[in-house]
Amino acid sequence: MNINRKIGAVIFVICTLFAITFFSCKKGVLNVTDPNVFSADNYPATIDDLNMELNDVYGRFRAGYYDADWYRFFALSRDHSADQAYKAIDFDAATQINFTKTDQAVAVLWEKHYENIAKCLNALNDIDRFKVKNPSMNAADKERVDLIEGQVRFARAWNYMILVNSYGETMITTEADKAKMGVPIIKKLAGIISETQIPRSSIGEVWTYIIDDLKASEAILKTKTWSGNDIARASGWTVKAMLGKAYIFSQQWALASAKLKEVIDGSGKSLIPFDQFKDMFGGKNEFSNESLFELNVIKDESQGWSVSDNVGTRLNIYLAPAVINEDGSTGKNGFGNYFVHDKNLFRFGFTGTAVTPAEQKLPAYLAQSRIWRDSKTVDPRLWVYSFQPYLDSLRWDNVTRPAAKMPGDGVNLETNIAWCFQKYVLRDAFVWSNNISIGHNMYILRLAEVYLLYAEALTKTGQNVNALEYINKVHRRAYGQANVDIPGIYDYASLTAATEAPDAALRNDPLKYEKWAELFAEGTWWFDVCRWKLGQNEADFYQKVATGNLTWNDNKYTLPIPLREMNTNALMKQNSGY
Amino acid sequence: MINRLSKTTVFLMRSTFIFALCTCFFNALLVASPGYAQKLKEIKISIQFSGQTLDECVKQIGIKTNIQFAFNPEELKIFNSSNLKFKKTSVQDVLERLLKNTSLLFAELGSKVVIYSTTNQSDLTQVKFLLNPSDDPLLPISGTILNEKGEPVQSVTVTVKGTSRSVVSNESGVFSIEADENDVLVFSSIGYSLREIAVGKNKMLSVQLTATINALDDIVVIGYGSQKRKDITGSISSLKGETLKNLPVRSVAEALQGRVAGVFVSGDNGAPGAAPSIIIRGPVNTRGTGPLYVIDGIPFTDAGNSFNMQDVENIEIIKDASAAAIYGAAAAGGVIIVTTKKGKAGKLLVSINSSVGSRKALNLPRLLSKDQFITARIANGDDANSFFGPESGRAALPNTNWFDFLYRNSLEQNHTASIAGGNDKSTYYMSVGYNDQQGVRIDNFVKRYTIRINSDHKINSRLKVGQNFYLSSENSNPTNLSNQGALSFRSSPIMKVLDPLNAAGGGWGRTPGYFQGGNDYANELVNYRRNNNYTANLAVYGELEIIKGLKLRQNMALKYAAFDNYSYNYRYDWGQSRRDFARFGKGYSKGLEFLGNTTLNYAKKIGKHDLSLLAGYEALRGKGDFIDGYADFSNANLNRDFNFVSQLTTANNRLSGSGSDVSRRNSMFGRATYSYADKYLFSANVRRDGVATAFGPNNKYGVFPSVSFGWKVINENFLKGSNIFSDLKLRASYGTLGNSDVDGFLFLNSYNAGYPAVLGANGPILTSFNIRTRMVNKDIQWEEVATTNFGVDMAFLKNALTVSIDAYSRQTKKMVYYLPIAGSAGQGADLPFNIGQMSNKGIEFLVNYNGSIKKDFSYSVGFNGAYNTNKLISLDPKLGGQFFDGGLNEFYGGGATASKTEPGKPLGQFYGWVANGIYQTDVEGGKGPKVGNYTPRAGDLIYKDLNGDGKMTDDDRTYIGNPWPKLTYGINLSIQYKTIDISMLLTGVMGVDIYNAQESFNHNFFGDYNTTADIFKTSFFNGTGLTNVPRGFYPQNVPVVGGGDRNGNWSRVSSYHVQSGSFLKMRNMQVGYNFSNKLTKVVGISSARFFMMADNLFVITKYKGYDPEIAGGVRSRGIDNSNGRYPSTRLLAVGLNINF
Repeated sequence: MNINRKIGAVIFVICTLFAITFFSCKKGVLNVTDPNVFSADNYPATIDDLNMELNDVYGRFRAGYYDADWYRFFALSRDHSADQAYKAIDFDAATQINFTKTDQAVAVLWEKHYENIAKCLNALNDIDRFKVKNPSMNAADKERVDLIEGQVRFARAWNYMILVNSYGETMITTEADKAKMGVPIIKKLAGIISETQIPRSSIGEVWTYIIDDLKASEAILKTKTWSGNDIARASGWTVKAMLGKAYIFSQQWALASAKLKEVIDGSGKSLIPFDQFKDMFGGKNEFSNESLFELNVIKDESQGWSVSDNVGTRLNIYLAPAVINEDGSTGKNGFGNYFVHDKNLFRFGFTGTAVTPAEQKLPAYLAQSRIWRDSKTVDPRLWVYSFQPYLDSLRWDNVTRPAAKMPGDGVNLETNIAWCFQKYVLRDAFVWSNNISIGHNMYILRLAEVYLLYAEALTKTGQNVNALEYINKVHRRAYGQANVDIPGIYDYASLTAATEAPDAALRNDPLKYEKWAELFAEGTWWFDVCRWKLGQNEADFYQKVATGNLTWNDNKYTLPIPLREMNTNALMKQNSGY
Repeated sequence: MINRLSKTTVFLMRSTFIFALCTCFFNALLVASPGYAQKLKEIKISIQFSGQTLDECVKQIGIKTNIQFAFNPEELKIFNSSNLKFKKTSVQDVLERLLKNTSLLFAELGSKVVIYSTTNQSDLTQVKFLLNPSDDPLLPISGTILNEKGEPVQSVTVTVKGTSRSVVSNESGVFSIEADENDVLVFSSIGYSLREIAVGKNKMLSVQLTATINALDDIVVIGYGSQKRKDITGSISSLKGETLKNLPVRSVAEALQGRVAGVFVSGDNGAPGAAPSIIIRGPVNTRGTGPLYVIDGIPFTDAGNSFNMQDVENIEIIKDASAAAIYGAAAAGGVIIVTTKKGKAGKLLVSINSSVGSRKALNLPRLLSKDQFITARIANGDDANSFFGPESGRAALPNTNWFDFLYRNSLEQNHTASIAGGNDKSTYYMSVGYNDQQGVRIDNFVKRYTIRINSDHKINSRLKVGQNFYLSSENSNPTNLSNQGALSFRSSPIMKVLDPLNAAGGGWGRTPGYFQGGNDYANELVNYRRNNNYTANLAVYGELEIIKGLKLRQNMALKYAAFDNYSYNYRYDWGQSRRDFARFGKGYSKGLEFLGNTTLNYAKKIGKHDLSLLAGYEALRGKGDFIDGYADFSNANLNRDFNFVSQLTTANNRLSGSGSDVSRRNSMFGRATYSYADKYLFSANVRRDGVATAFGPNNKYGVFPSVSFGWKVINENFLKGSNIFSDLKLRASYGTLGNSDVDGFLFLNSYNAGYPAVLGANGPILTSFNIRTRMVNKDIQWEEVATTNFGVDMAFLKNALTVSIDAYSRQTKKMVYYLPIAGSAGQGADLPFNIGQMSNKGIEFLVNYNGSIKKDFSYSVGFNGAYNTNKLISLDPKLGGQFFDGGLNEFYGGGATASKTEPGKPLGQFYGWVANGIYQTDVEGGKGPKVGNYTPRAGDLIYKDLNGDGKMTDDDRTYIGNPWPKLTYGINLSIQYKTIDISMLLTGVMGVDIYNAQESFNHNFFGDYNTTADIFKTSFFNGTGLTNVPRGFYPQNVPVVGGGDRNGNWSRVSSYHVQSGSFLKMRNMQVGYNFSNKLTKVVGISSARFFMMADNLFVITKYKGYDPEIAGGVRSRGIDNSNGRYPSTRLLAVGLNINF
């Protein structure tokens, strides 16, 4: 025998055996799991795991309405807090309220909130599974699990509120409105396609569902409050206040006034003094005694522009304030083109009309403005929420920079006053040197709104005097009165007293005016416009935006159902006019 | 004792003995030949001739030098020497001089020098040995192999028929083999017809081989084996590596462009390393799954760019199901089998292929200069002051042509050096390659270094082992495009590129006030990136012939891929954008895949029955991981070491990404081929695949069978002696293939990281986990793709003209369709289901003609073409959302989709409004349908209001164009005239539409973008009045809501922008000059060729955009967003091919 061949054959057999053993492990070659995820078979296993799901639910407050991308369209452009010096089809659609069913913004808002709801639903399912698996938890564990459930239910209710207010056929103004089309209620995570075909529930049903969730949450959280590293969680008072708001939106006035009163009396919250108030939108005085629920963000650019991976907001980029640079040129702290719609200045009572930078920086003009501000002949909140060119300033790189008029950027702003926003913007650092995102919390619910909601409930239940008092409390703080609970010189004398506003709807309606002025650019006014059917009034008052004239039709009270949803859900029905 | 051994053993022993002898002999020959040749050169003699017959002359030399000569005296007697006188001249030179102007050649053979005639072969039987013809009893049969031109043919395999004894001819065409009188010798070589010669009493043979023209005897590599081209029953196209020699192609896909009927390759940009799209016989599914690549037995889903095409020996493209079924669930998009070069026994071949050239960007647009820009912006109604400042200062504004800075003519180099050789036991091929492609855009290149080592070894007559090792290292500097894309339409002519006054900001030009874009030049340079990609593909095999005809083969392969990416972002300030910190980033990955397969192959011929069987098992497992991290720091000069990242406490630093990937596959397969009387062919394949990550628990394994038939009509009696046909074969096949390239683990419910949360005022950032945003489909499985193929292969004029025609029908069933899910389910955008059906039907043809005019002018013409119709047939009608749309950039309004894919139509049809001319008057416009709230005016496009509701809405959209060509074709031309050779490749498409979205950028301002002078041709712009180009300008006083372009002339999808995209491109042209042997021998080179090459020389088209070759996916194809496209390029290069 040839020795070579023998060796060769032996090597060959060994190799073959090795190969076969190597590739056919006993478990079976095909038995692998995805290395990047947890298998649903053994997750969640602990209460900590459930808390991980709750973290997601909280993180998702950044997705949807309060995501800066959509906030600028739905909360700023739509109610004309903002005007814009930029031409683009989707931007124009927002400022002119010409949303279409194919708009990305319209689709994302819908999809994100439903995604949030699905996560809430899954967390609630997991809580149930966990309870079944662990029937004999000790009291402390049981409480931990319950608290998770309470918070998830609150979050789910809030997501539905955004949805029904945005896409519901109408706001509830009459009993008949409750039967109109709301949004689909998702009671089960779809496992198969047929389960994704959910029709729109009526508006009444949606509000009942929201209120049930909030009540269940309230039953768990009761008067629970949080502190330290939990301070941003929804407290029992957050839930009660939101429940009160839900009663307002569903026109259950008695329940609303009772619930809101409970918050006012029991929460220990109070309106913080004007000195603190004026800084509370720039990253300071967060979680103050006035706050009931905030979109909690911290400066974080670690994941670029991703809203899902970052815990900051980049709203400041879009609301970039203009400044006069050291060399005299005009610069911006960001790249947005949003500025305060000129008419808002007049609504706050400002009567100056200087449009060119040269006029705006005239000493006499500035002196007049200062007088108006100091004498409070103009609503002081104007200078809290916006920068007056040359009167206000920003400071970074150790240089104080006068605020400037928003530059035109190709859109003709020669006849615009064009002040820049102050609310939520970055004013003490240069955005590009600092990281794109900032950590300025946004207010989702604060006591001033609760007072005004309460006042509204009171007017509906015939308690006008008391209602006026709560409107005045908000007003007094805005005008710097130290103790807001005693009458003062700035008080409205009646529910029809004159306000700063020149327009028909707000001129003699302190409740509406305060709702607008106090919560300016905070994302609530548009829903009031819809509830109070002020669309025509607003279009008449604002008249135009920099890119065109405003027109009104009642279709604008609601958004179209996104085309993607119409195409994928056979049971979906479109809102009229779309 | 011998009697007690089995017959087989006796045979084995005997053959081993003979083999050993042969080996010894040939080793001696291999060693001796060069040595002897050396001797011929070394031994110097002084000798004089004066007209003797040559046999006398040679005898004299033999006596003087003791060199043994062998020749047929009759042949030498014909010639007389001239008067020659040599002084201390080498025998080599003496012989050369002596035999000059005769038909005689000489060659060393063993210890002898043989002199033989190249013309008078019949008389070679009369060869007598000059000195002791019988002094070597073991002297084997020897001979010389020549081609039709009388040139020696090397590397011919000479086999004693019925045995495994074989040798290979050397560079002089000489062979020597042990054989007896009754044996038949088989001569085979690629490119030549097989020839059999009975040995008889001749010890010295002269064999003439005829070059094959249609290469019917070529060996075609099929899955896990090979077949002769003439026995192929499926649809397999072959491409020789020789065709790709010197081409500046970096990927297999690119190499195939225009060369193979039915393989549609389109590249849509000229970036170094850009991967073209490849679609074989139309899109196989809505995802456009590509072909499977098998390189030396290792499967790849994408062969990528890190492959040295100069190493390629052969490429086979399997288009139908019959042969591809052996690759089962990975093969539905077609299979491309690449075989790399191997060494051949014989002389050591050293070759160097080098080329150097320059690339130029084609059709760069001319954006408006400063003066044009100011004029146009003002005419556009933009606020001049906010754009340009006061009028007095405008003269001092810069006037920048950004392309002068961003684009350049770039250098490209391609070098490969290889050695190949071996002896009868071992052969090897080794190569090193260097490819350097500089981008035409600044700060952009790809460099690649490659090494290949292939070898094959016979351990003994029964056992072979071999290996293929391939290593590549790619070093690239990718572009850093801003969001304005490669063509930088968002750039400002009134902005400086560099500005010394901005020294603190890096010296970059600062953005003017109106401008929200960036500094594209700076953007490339401040974002420093180096990507390194490493791949190693290692394969070893062993093959044992257990008994005659039964072979066991074991392959083991390892694929390793890794990247190591580095980035450094400098601090900068160019006005609109500024970064006050530097960022250092680093990313690593590694992927490792093991593949093993065992095959058992049995071949047996009994009479007219020829049978072969194959059974195999294959397993694959792989795992990959990647990790990215970065650190920000304000001090730009800090240490840039990765370890440093973890030590930085003051900077923003973190692990920014990581992930893992697993793959597992487990397969069994088999094949049977049978032929009867070399007329009727049959073949069947089957494969059973399990893919761990792709197939759900309910469908763990898929089975993919195929059958095929062939009829070699040419071998039928009625065609014997046909004057028309030199070949005729009919083929038919049917089979089912699979696709398994769906996302992993779609069948598993899982939890992954959700939105991080912060619940304290200032942190910490909390991780979150929640259920994955994705529905689960437990029934997910492979797609089933059934292909029926009919083909005919014909050859005429003694194989000079060959024609192949294939017709096919490919039906995709259970097509994975990403069903859009209602957003209200909150479960993500879509879920894959096996619910779709798609059809591709087509015809392909291939015509080749080889001709010659006189002896020294030969040429060949090849034309291949393919016609395919694609149709999405159906999706589950119970489910909503039965269409896809997509594909346009963000500047388009109205949902910005130009493509729609709907059952009953081909994929990705253009979908939009029908434009039908331009309104000539405002009155006319007033009668037309409104666009939103806008009443059209003169100069606006006339849109058709299809539903007659008086306004233009999404419901008025319809199908307005087809991005799939009716015909794709390629033309190959080659001409050889004496020492000059010319080759050309032209590719083209016909009957195709392009959606020219680019012209909107050329005719209109979008935001703060620049545009081209075309804007001055639009109606009512800057006082033009009505022209034949729609308006983009609307006076400010038009009493409507909205910004510019109110009729959507440039921003809505309409048929106005659909244009014919037919083109014919001169893809590549080479002109070569072959230096004469005399010249090259002087410098010790056996052959040398100089060539000039032009790649992408010209294009003939009516298309109005920059380049009609546009790829894109299969659902949003043919949309020209040139603004974002890296421009296409032309390469002019020169090169050298040298063989030693």
